[in-house]
Amino acid sequence: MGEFTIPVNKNIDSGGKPPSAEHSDKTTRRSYFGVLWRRFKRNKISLISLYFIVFLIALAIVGPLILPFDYKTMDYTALYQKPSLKHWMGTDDGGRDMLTLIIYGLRNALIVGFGAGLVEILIGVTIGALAGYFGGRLDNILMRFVDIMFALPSFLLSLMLVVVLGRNLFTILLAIGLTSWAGMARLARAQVLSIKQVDYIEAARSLGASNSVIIFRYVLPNAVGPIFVSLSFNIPGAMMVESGLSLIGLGIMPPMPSWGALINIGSRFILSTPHLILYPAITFALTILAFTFVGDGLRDAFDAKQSD
Amino acid sequence: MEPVIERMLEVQNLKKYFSVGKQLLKAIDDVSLEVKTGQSVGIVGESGSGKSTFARLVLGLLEATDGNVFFMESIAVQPMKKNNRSMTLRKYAQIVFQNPYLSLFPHLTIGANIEEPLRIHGVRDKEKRHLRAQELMYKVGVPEAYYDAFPHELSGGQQQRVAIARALALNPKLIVFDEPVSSLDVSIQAQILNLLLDLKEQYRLTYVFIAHDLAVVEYISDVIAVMYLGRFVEYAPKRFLIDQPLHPYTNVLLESVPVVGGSLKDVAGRGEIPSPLSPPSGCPFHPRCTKAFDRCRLERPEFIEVKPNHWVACHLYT
Repeated sequence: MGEFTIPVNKNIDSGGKPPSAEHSDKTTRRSYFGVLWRRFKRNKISLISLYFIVFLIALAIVGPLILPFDYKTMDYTALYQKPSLKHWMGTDDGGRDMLTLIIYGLRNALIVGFGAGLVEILIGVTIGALAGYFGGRLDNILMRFVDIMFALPSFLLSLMLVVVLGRNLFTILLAIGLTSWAGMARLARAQVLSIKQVDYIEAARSLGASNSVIIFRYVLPNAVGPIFVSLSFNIPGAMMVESGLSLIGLGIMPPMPSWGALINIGSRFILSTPHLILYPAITFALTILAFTFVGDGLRDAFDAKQSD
Repeated sequence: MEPVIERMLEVQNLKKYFSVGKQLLKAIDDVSLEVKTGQSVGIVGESGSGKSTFARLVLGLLEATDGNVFFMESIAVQPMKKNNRSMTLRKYAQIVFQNPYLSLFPHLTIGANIEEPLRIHGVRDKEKRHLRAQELMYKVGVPEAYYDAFPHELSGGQQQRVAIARALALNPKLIVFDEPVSSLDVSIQAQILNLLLDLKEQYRLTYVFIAHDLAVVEYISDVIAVMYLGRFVEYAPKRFLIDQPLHPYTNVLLESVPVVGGSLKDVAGRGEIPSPLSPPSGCPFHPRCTKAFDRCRLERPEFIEVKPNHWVACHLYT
């Protein structure tokens, strides 16, 4: 194959616009995630929410290192104090610094949220993708199992698991993750089922790609959109379950603070010292809201119909 | 020097039945075909005639109910063996689909799409893949600037050029085209068809070209097979099939090709293609045929060679 030219006019049907001008001057390779990020950035509320979550994560990591107080030590000379320069968010019924408690609560909520989310993804996506991709009998067996998991009340199941496994951060995130992956499995299966029908999967097979290559390289990358969106709603969901467990006294073992426990205690003093419930409730609500906005932004960014 | 392969593709008594509820849908019913190396065989038929099923069967993407398919004389594509992914078949036989927007990997750039076959076949050298992709983009007439673009940013014609480049990446011997231009504008159809003719000559390719539009098939093929309800009803070199069509159905297809300046005629064939679930008795075309007589309702005509290399399944010629 040497020198030859093709008598076709190369540009005659370039109806599609060339790669956007802002990028043509760059020499870096464009990636799928670059495009996603550019689309995500357009939604300002989502972007601010993402920054807020990053800030929360940083706070949860750095906070315990630099705080002048810890969550264990009681101070009976400073009970129910109003916010002051020393205690920015006041103190609780044990004289502990509220800000410190909230930051530790934040750390625990994030660990439980992301941890449970990870467990859900691992179990749900594996089961859903296998069922959707291979179909037939395997699909039937796996999805009946999913149906059973879906039918059982997951909060009660989590409760039982906590009782059986014990009460620490890890068992709690496990108890939440293990009981709430059914929705993720159904979503993953539906995604894989629809992607499996598209021509590019047949193209991949005709090129000789193996099943595992097809699943990991072509099916899953195109299925992650809705899965990530769902995850960004499931993380705050897991946080809610965790605080629910704390609220009824089966969450993280005191004195380690949890938002649910803080709100539970605060509710007893809502008339006398409202800041005990106000601050944890507000941070909790803002955190949940931020995750939800990020989820919205992700959903729009993954929408392929959107131009970039 | 590798041995010369004369028969690129051999299809013998190929059958594909789907069960729909309790009924049997005969999508492909006893079809035989031989594609010689360097030939371009066109398969034409209405939607629902089984053309796409045929394409998937000959590439081993679908398991046949019965019959044999051999590729390059030695590779048995059908009957399909379990867990046997013949990499020779996957390397030397490629397919181009109707809708390039659906057949290109949407999450990969144009360059990555074209390089994907090389990746699958173990070319690890990034630079080598990149060079090959650039070469192919040049060959099919896709501007280099599109290397980092995504499929959805290109027009339909450009997308199909990329799909063709991807099919060429492994230096195939056979390419099956499943309606490659029917989703494109007419002006772009011509460009793509010319490109395909050029590529065929350059790389000494063998084509199986499937379309519903006889004009398109005529342009690109040496031999044309007409398919109706899962069977071939006529097979002949292009010249004979166009100039002296024998089967009434071929006539219908020829008359339905619009002619510039011509007036719209009433097409002879009446009605639509019958459901393959309940095909008519006798000759499956008889309810729509203007020349049908009693025998057509009762007896299915054999596919016979009535003139040298001109086959037809019609009672008018027996």
